[in-house]
Amino acid sequence: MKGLLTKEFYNLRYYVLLFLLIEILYFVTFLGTFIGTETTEEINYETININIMVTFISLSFILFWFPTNLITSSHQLDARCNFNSFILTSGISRKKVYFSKYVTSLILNILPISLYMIGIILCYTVYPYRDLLADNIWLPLIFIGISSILFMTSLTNFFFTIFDAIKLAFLTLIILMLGYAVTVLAMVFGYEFMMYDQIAGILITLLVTALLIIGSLLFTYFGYRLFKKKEY
Amino acid sequence: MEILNLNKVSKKFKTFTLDNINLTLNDKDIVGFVGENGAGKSTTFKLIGGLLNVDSGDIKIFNKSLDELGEERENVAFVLDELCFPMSFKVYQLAKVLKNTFSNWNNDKFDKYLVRFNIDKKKKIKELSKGMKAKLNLAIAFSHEANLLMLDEPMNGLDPVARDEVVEEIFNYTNDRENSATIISSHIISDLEKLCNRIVLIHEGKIIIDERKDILLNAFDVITINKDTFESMEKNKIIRFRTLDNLSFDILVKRNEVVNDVVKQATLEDIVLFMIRGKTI
Repeated sequence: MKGLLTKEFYNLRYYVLLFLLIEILYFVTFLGTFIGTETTEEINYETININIMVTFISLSFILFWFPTNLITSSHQLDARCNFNSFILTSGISRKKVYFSKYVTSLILNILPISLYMIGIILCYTVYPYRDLLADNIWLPLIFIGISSILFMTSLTNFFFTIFDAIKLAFLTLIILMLGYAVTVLAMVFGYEFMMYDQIAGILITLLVTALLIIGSLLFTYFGYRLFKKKEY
Repeated sequence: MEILNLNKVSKKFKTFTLDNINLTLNDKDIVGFVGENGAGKSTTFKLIGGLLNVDSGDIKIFNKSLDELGEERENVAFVLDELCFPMSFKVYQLAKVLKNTFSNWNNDKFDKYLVRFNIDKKKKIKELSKGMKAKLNLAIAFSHEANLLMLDEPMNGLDPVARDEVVEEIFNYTNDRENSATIISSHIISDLEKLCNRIVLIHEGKIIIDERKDILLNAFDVITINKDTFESMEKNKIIRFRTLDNLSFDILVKRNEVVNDVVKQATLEDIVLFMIRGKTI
């Protein structure tokens, strides 16, 4: 596994640097939304929440989308040089090869998830009248966001197992974009429900999270089964 | 100890079948695996490497099936016909990946081979010539202490001097290790004749010759005769014949069986050509 992750590092390091730059710029912009904001009850509650919502949704889209999309690049780079032909003859099990993409996705997402959590905590620090533990509006964004990482990784792995990575990259990109659109919509729905009916909001969040996790498990199971028999 | 054993291995494709392959490698065997393009050499290698699934038969390496081998598969070094690494990698970065991949990776040995083969560590793989890439592939194979070398056309792109060097290296590598064997496929028969102690000829998915080199080289003669002599000759003595113009015939016969002025001892290349392109009566 260490060899596979080292390969991923060398393959993706420039993309990751670019991503880090985008992250920093975005985070700075996000922090900029707080400039000039007064933390008193006289501020319009609705306006502040819309600002937070829009910022978080768009932030999460980039934060969760870009690293997981790097898995697509990883598959394409491997396919271009037929890397799997070498690694599978080297004593590395097909299980390790398949699940190395999940580990890579997890590592790539640690930074954005951490920044995301810092962002949430900052929001509640700036607006002290909001109670972090009682206020569940961040639930959809965290639960759905994180389960969508798992879902998109398993979806990517599944499609690159059954399709040729180079010829069908465009098709896979379309599918991935649709997947992201669905998860973002789910986050928005969850957030909206939370605003007006916390119980409904929590239920929707849990439902969508469960569906994403079940979807991930199914794609992982079938993807791995196919990969075990795949011929090179 | 049997290093490698293929027992009635078959694999069917739409337009080609690898049929009933039986092959055993023992300690110190250096087997030359020859055949025309599309004969099934690479398919056989891929079956051994687990890249293709066997339809029937079984494959054992160090007396274990491919499923049982697990991480012991590291003991097998595969050189495929192309370098399967990202071209943007520099050689030293590749070394780091390999160090983390193989538990027996010997970095000092790898560095030594890089120096010997004149490969610059700081160069990107895409900047290396075809011959350099071939040498890099071999350097990798030699550097993780494998006991079985599976070399699929490793000499592609190498100049004669480099080939000679590599032949010597393969010979020494196999003979210096206990319980070690090598199987090498190549179209350069002269290299195999120098290096190998056994020759396996595969044609249209079937093994037609599997014999020790010294026996093979003393087994046949090639005779060139005219049409009249060909027609009057005992047909059961003709193993294979070739003709371009139907006036002059080259025939492959058993050693010393036919007395003729124009007899020469068949080389390995002669035997391969006659067996693949020669006709039978």
